[in-house]
Amino acid sequence: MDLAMLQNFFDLNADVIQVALTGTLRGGLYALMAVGLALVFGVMNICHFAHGEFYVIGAYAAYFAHVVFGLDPILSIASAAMLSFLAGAVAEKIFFLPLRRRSKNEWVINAFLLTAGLSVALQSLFKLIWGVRYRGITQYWKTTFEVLPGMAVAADRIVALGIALGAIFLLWLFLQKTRLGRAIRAVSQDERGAMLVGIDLDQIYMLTFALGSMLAGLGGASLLSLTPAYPFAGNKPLISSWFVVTIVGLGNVSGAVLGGFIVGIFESVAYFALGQGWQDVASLGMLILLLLFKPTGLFGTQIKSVWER
Amino acid sequence: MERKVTSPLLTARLWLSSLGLSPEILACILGLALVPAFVREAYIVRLLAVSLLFGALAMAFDFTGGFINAVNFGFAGFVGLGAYTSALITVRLGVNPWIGLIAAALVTGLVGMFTGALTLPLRGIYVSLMSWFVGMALMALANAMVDLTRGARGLIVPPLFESASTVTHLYFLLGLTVLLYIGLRLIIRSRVGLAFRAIGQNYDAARASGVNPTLYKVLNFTLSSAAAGLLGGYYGHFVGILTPDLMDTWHTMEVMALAYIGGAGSLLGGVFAAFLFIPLFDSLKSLMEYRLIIYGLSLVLIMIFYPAGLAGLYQVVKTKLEFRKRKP
Amino acid sequence: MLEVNHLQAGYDYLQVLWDVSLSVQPGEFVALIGPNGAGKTTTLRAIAGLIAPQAGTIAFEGRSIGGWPAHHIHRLGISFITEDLNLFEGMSVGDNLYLGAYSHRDSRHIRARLQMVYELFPILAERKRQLAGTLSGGERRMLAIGRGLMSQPKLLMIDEPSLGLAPKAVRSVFAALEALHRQGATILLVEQNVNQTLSLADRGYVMEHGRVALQGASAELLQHEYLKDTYLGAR
Repeated sequence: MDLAMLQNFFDLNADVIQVALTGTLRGGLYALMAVGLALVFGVMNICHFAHGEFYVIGAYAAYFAHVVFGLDPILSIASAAMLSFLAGAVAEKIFFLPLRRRSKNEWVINAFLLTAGLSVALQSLFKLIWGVRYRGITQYWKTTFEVLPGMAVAADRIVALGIALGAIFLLWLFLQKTRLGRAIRAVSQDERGAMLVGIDLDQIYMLTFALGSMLAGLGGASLLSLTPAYPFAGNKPLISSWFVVTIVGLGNVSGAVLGGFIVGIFESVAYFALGQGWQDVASLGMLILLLLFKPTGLFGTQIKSVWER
Repeated sequence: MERKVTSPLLTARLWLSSLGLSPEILACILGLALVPAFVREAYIVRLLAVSLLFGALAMAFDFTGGFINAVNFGFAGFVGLGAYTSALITVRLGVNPWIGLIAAALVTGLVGMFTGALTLPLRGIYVSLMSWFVGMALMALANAMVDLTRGARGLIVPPLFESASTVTHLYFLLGLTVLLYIGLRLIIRSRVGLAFRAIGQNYDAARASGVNPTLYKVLNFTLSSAAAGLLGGYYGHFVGILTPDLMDTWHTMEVMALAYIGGAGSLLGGVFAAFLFIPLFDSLKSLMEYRLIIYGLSLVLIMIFYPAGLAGLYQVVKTKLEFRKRKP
Repeated sequence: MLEVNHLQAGYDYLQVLWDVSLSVQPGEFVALIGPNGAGKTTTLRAIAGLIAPQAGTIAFEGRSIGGWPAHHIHRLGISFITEDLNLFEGMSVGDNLYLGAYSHRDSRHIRARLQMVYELFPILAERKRQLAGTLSGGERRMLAIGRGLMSQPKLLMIDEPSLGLAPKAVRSVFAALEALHRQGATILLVEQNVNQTLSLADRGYVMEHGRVALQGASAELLQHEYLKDTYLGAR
């Protein structure tokens, strides 16, 4: 698995650059996941704890597309992204739409509990359907890149980072330049104003949730060779991306990109310095301190509703 | 209209109801106490004991979630802390497990107090995040300190009672749960409970009307965590082996699901939910596979369609019945 | 064009409107006046679809629209500029205006509307890259009206456009409304500023306690004894 590989990695070359490199590669995934979380929180006010399950959906989809149906890597990843987009849209329609109709004042807490329930239910559902077997691949592309003399990195990791950055950039373009993208931003800023210019809130919510889920699915699909698909594969990325959004401030989409790399590099440094066990303790300790002294995150948040409920 | 209280039966009933014990609840307690007299299968008795344990945990969770409206998402971490405290004191220092239990409550209560203080500048979902991080940090510590806790290999914990009979566990847990209920309920019914609810409904308004949110928030976290620690300590001695997995977030979700299915702010709702779900899952082995799906989906459905939970349903049915009774 | 009959509406358990009937004809400038709490804003909210009527009917161009979702009503051609404006503060002036034309997809048409709004409020053209949240009070009002105009509405409903503005800004907002009316826009205006409003409007309705207490042509209302005593005399 990932960590075992890392262990060897460090035993051979205990090097600052390498720590930074690992952190950056890992940070790409966190940034991707965290942008999805921030988007869903910023627009819909949902503290999304089932985000990791969409990562898993993406991973399974890519596995079946690539291994079972024999699609080429790019097509596999693309179909996984599409499938997780659809899964997100369906989940929004089935669960969050009825909740929105019924729950007004207690929305934040009820939506949060709903995602918690959804996460547990989906994980067990995956386990029921596919068992706990790891479904992974050795690699999508059988090459390595020599980033620095004597330092080779699997093509998969580089491509995954590229996909993450590309997807984030495309999302940014979409939000800034298109009619629907503008509408998403409008809803996050003033729901009533959005309604009054003719925006269908339900449609925008569904689109937002689907996009967020797609980003998670993309992460799961593009990193399939590093972390195989299995029912609980979403937990680690979920927790790390929650670290990211907490650090930068909930709902801060652009901050989440930078935050992803901060957390990726921090984890990789902590792992290098402290080893597996204490790395988690260090990360959590840092988070607790940060939350204590800067509750709105490093870059602050414009979302007021979090403070009200 | 005025009515003089003369009958001793009525006096007793009033006194009991001031403790939160209605005739229905007393009947349930009595029923549970009588089970071992009729049922010989140790497995059923054990199932009831486990239900009680989980119900009591849901109650401790609800004390925070249902009243000051702060979801302690790191709850399992606190339960685990209690379990490890009692187990380690017993195993490593050779102290009597009963003292271990008390230490578990004290240590976890202290960490709860500390966590409550950490969440002071925070509101809403940030409180949940902070408690989640604390809970996960506790789990990470249990994992990291392998020399002390033996990590995933598991720590063998000595039992509390000499006799291995589950009936003893059932009675002890029944007593513990009833005492916990009475205690928590007395607090809820007092001025302190009023302050809890005020903070839960509107933090700023509560502060503006003279409630000291600092004091009550910390007090609430301390008490809830101490209860979680006590029950966790008991759990360790009960099952006999501990791994850090106990502190995983999905255990929090399990307790949380019971508390919210039972009905937030009802205390007993979670106990009833535990008695509904746990024996059901266990009696139908095929359901074990679906256990977490059912928990998760129930939580989802309750949130969407009936946030008042079982307790809310019970109230509705009771009111309807009384209404019908009154009609000639 | 707009027909409201015996409308009753409110919030949760608080009923605000008890019996409101009013109508607006194409090209008309109609004012809705009355004291605070009379239900003027609630009337507009019910027409715009932000709250559902409890009883009575709302018809727009012959179609009953009571209880329709707000975005749907907007697409029929009713623009509602609220008292608190509901601007997208973190977005640029240009983006706010673009969003005003959200239900239109024809980019040529949108550019033409943008041109028209910039001509009406030249200051918005100057500030088009600035964030809406950084504008002054008067400019924010203008942006809200401009955003409301982007969809080329058949009916423009404006709630208290003079609220909290300096006299100079009030004059320019009113001048803009007058210009719009001359160009043929249909306007339903809620205002506290009775004198100035009635001097612009064709007709007026006076609301009190959730009911229409008085109605008539502006000139008549200005002469009405009751109105003079309660509103105009005080000023």
